[in-house]
Amino acid sequence: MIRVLAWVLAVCSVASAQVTYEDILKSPGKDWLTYAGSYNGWRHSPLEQITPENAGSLVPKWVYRVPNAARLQTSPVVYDGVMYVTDTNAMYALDARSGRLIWSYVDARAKESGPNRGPAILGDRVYFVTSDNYLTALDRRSGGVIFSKKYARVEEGITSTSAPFAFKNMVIVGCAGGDNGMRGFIAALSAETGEEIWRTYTVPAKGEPGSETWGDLIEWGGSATWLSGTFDPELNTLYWTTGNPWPDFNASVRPGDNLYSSSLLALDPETGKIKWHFQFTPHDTHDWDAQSWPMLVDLEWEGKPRKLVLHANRNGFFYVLDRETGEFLRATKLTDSVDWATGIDKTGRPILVPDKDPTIEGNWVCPSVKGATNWMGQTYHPDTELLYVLTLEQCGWFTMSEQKPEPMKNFPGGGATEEGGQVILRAMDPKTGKAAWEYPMTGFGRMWTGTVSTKTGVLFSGDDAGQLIALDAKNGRHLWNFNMGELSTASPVIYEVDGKQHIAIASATAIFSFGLFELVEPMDLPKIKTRK
Amino acid sequence: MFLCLLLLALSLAAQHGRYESESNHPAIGDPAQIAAGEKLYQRSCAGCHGPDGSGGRGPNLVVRPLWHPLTDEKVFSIIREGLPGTSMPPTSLTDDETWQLVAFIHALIGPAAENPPPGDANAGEKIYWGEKAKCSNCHTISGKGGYLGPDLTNIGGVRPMAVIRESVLEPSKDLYQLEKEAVTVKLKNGQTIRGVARNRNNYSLQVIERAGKLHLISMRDVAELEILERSAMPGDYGERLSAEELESLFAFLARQSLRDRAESSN
Repeated sequence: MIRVLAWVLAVCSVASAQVTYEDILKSPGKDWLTYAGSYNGWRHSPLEQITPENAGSLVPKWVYRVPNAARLQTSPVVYDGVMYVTDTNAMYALDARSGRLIWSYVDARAKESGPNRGPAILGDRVYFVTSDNYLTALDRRSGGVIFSKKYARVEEGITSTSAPFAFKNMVIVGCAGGDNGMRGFIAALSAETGEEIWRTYTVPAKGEPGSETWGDLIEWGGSATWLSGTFDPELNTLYWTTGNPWPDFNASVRPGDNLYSSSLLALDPETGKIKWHFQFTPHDTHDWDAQSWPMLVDLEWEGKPRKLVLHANRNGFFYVLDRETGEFLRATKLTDSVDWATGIDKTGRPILVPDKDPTIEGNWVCPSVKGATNWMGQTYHPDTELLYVLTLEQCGWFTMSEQKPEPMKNFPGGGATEEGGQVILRAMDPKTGKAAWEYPMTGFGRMWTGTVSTKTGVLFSGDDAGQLIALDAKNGRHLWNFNMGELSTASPVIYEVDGKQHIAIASATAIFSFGLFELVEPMDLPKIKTRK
Repeated sequence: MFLCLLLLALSLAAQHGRYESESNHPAIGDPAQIAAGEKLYQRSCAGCHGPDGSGGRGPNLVVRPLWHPLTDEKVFSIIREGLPGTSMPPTSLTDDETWQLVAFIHALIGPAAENPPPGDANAGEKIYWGEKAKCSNCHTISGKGGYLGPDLTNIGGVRPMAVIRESVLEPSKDLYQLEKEAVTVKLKNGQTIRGVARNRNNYSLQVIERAGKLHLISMRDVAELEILERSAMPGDYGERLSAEELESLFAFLARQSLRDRAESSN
């Protein structure tokens, strides 16, 4: 019976349908259609086959070694039995049940070669960005190029790393390069042609509101937008984070709050208009950025249902905001070691500890430049109502250089190092602002991996020693672990193919896919004939 | 035909460029030096390596470097000193002449878009989409066309001219057909699927049909698999098209270069 069923499934697995905006609104189901699986950013799957009871029998189903990969950061997209993964200037389509390559696309003539965090899918096309800022649309079935369109210039200090964000008839992209001096932006491009629909700069132009929060270097203010965003269809609002102001460590040349750096922006996705902003780290002097996942959840707040955005920030605090208005509701310590501020005041501004800025001699500050967390995927499980976030207890030296800032010369205005440190997976309770449980990891604090959860209460995470682990989402109890043999710098996803649930994650060099153990039955090879 | 080369060679080409290192010698990329090098090449080298570098008595210069990348300096020293034990003789060219030759070979094995052939690309465009050649029955450009053959949107940006020429005129010359096999798959449930196997091993098969339907098949479900021994690409373009038509087609294909298109539109 099982074999008959397998036949039917195999025969039915013909990739012919199209991914619609409505499909993405419903994602994830069997497919995983966006960077975080869903527009709300939860990185949570409704699939139920893998449970706390059977997670111990997970086994690797296949491994695909990505050619020439060294430090994969890709978060796969899975649709109709095909998995799409990216690397530097390249995309690969894999048979999601066998890991076999269907097609690959490499842009060998790209002028930059930075990391890439993943693809987007819409219609019959998969999209990714090249390091030198081309939005590339490929036919998802063949890898054939539909268009490859430049949206920003490397010559202006801009590069690209993040997964594009597919929305209705557009693909929204961000930019990187904020440690170099550039002007950050978010841009919506036509999914059909790549033509620009809107562009919103994250640093105001001279004379515009907010420009008074900068000095003379405003044109190179940074505030890059190198992580994808989240979206609330009911409020028709896009949530996108911004990076550090430039120069990173010499803040004396940019007096003021430096809007809209190290902030969360709420934008109208149709026009790019900023509805509201919230700046976590005004006048950021530690390159903390705000690149961490804005998680959209509806919870009771002081006895009333409220639309919230949760944000575990790199500056060491865990924020709760009203996502309709941007109103600050509460911030609590995310990491124990945070020492640059004693807390966050009622208006949402940090209560600063004196003398914590970088100095010429160097200053010891917690968190380190890597931040209390970072861009790695986080998970919200709607049943436990907990936010799962990988945190880093680490401090570091921050130095400042008085050298005259030079844009686009790899000049951050100082430097930062980090030492030691411990990764702790924390289950943050938005109702209390405190961790419901913690899972400390052993390692060197060098992982950049994330989490994903499934309906039955299993939480998956990379760890700080090259393992994929499964924990009980309720209490953090260990259920399973697998050694991938190298550190992971990417976040896991969940999908179903042939009626079977899988978890996939990129290690530094390969894609791994796991499923529940099944006895493999012997098979007879088919008859192969050749024809002249 | 292109697919195998594309998939196998691209990763090498992508990572290393055409050479392990790009020379800074001023002759490289200089049109006048390349033209002078071509004259020297046609006089002294074409007899063995073919007028377009695609080989003859001597090895194909265009495909081999993708497998064993050479530096410009190494090519220089081979031209100067020859390869002992082979029929490649030493030469007595001056340094300048040798660099002219290296510059020509460098251009020859670079993407066709950087070294376009002399044909009329606009006439070639009509031939490509027209009834006589019917290229678009099996190939896509910017999403238009059939899915059996490789996408050609960027073919001039990634393939040397000699490779394109050989792929059109002698598509079955490359005996390594895996990843571009034309297959007929009979499933145990009675269904028959015809297309090109983008990948295949003993356990699974990934087939794309002409219209773009993708089939991801477990070999457990396959009753019989028939594989065409030659390329699915017709082998009669040398007869089907005149010499002039072919040159025009090659010029059109050489123009299919994403990067060059993007730069020229900015």
